[in-house]
Amino acid sequence: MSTIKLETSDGVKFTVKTQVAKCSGTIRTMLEDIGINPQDGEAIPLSNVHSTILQKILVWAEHHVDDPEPPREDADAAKRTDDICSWDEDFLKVDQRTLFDVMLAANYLDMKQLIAVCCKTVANMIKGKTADQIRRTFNIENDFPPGEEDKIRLRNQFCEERSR
Amino acid sequence: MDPRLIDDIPCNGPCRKRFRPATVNMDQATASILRSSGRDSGLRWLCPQCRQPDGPLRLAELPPELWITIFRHLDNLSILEVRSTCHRWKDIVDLNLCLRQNFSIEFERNFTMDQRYYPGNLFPAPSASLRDAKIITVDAWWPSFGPGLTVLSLDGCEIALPTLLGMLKETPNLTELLLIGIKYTSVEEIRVDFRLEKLRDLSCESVFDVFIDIFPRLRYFDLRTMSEDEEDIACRLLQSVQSTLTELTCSFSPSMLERIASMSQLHPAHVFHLGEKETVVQLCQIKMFQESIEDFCVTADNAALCEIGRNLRKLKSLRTTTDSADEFIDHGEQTKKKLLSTELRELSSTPSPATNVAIAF
Repeated sequence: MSTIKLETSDGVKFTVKTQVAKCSGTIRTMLEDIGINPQDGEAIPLSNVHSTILQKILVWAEHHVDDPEPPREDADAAKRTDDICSWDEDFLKVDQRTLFDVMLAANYLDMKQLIAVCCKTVANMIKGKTADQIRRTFNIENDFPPGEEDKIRLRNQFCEERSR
Repeated sequence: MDPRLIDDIPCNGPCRKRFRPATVNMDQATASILRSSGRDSGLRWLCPQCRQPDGPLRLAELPPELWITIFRHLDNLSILEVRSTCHRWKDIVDLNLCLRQNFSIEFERNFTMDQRYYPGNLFPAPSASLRDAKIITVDAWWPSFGPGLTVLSLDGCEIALPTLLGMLKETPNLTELLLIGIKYTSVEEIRVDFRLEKLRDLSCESVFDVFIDIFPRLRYFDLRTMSEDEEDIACRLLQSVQSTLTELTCSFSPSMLERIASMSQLHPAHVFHLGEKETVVQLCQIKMFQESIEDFCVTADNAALCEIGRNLRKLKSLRTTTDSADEFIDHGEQTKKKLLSTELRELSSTPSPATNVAIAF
């Protein structure tokens, strides 16, 4: 079985099954379009992925390597966040720092399904919360001048869902 | 990676060095789109060194397109909460139509919009509705709000025609306009130097000459009531939009139908005739209508129904109001046979008084 080498930002080298590595659109492009030849034994540098995160992402890719191409979702289906499979749910039970790092790396590596499941997870962390609770959840500073937030809130009250 | 795909850009972090954004945290396609969109979408590019891989999480590290993807999973209520969380998130919501497209601004009722009225921090919703408002001037804030609108509805408002025209001048992206129950405090027509090229749907109860200039591409025109004076304007408006119009709601008078018969490019597929049932026969004689009407809504007696069946060859759906249920049922079979020769797929009738008769084919 063919393998390729990946090198992370902290200089750790991983030997990965080519098929698993190709879960990443970025790596796929490098191999197929740009013609990097993995037979040379040279590692592909992933200069903004840390080894701890790549390790985690490879576990995900290994598990999902045989997944069929997802069907093109319509806008309503895309809004759903209750369709995360239980394996992914457990996989993403990590601290926020790791979750966001996985997301950034998945984005860099162009792994659409992993990005999607991470986004749904974060969306679930926001849903049903007030602005204040959201700030506490993500440790966000309230950078509105005093009074402005109230104004925004007041204006928000005029907003209604469109009926048509 | 192919260096031609995207140029180097300066880092917004302390180093200020140039770097290639596609190497940070997004795929090249996204980076190219965001770079070439030419619009500020709240983006602060940071090179890998300035991103500080360790240490506490800073939300700025996550690129806006990921936040957009996350927020797209939220219901409208949560989007409003997100919007009042911090500046950065407010900007992301405000700058991205895909996050605010389901919102409509409902202004408070019964209030006066004058020099003193200034709605700060207005949510840039694509749809706005003003009900029973007294609109004197909108100069101060409307020019920054109007361009984001695609749907505008004024219901029961008091406004002068020049003020309305001033408002419409600032809404170049409008696709739907509803002017219902407007009390015009002045109908002075001023010269206009704009056209609403994107406006497709217009519902109104009064028409003015200036409408012919500013609505050049109507697809849907709903004119509920009309005075005799306005009939001429309405006909000229129809004349000017005849090639784009597909849906027409109007109470056609005999003289109007006479003029319509000469509009060779008017081919509406959907016609709602609110006029007297006597005019139905005349309408069915219009050659362009015979070949274009697929969906017809009308008040008709049995004789008129037969006329419809004989003449409207493309008819697929017919909705009628008849004077009596009995009449329709008694003669229904006969009508049905006549109509069966057409492509009709749906026929429903609402007789008065209120019993429903629906005949399914």
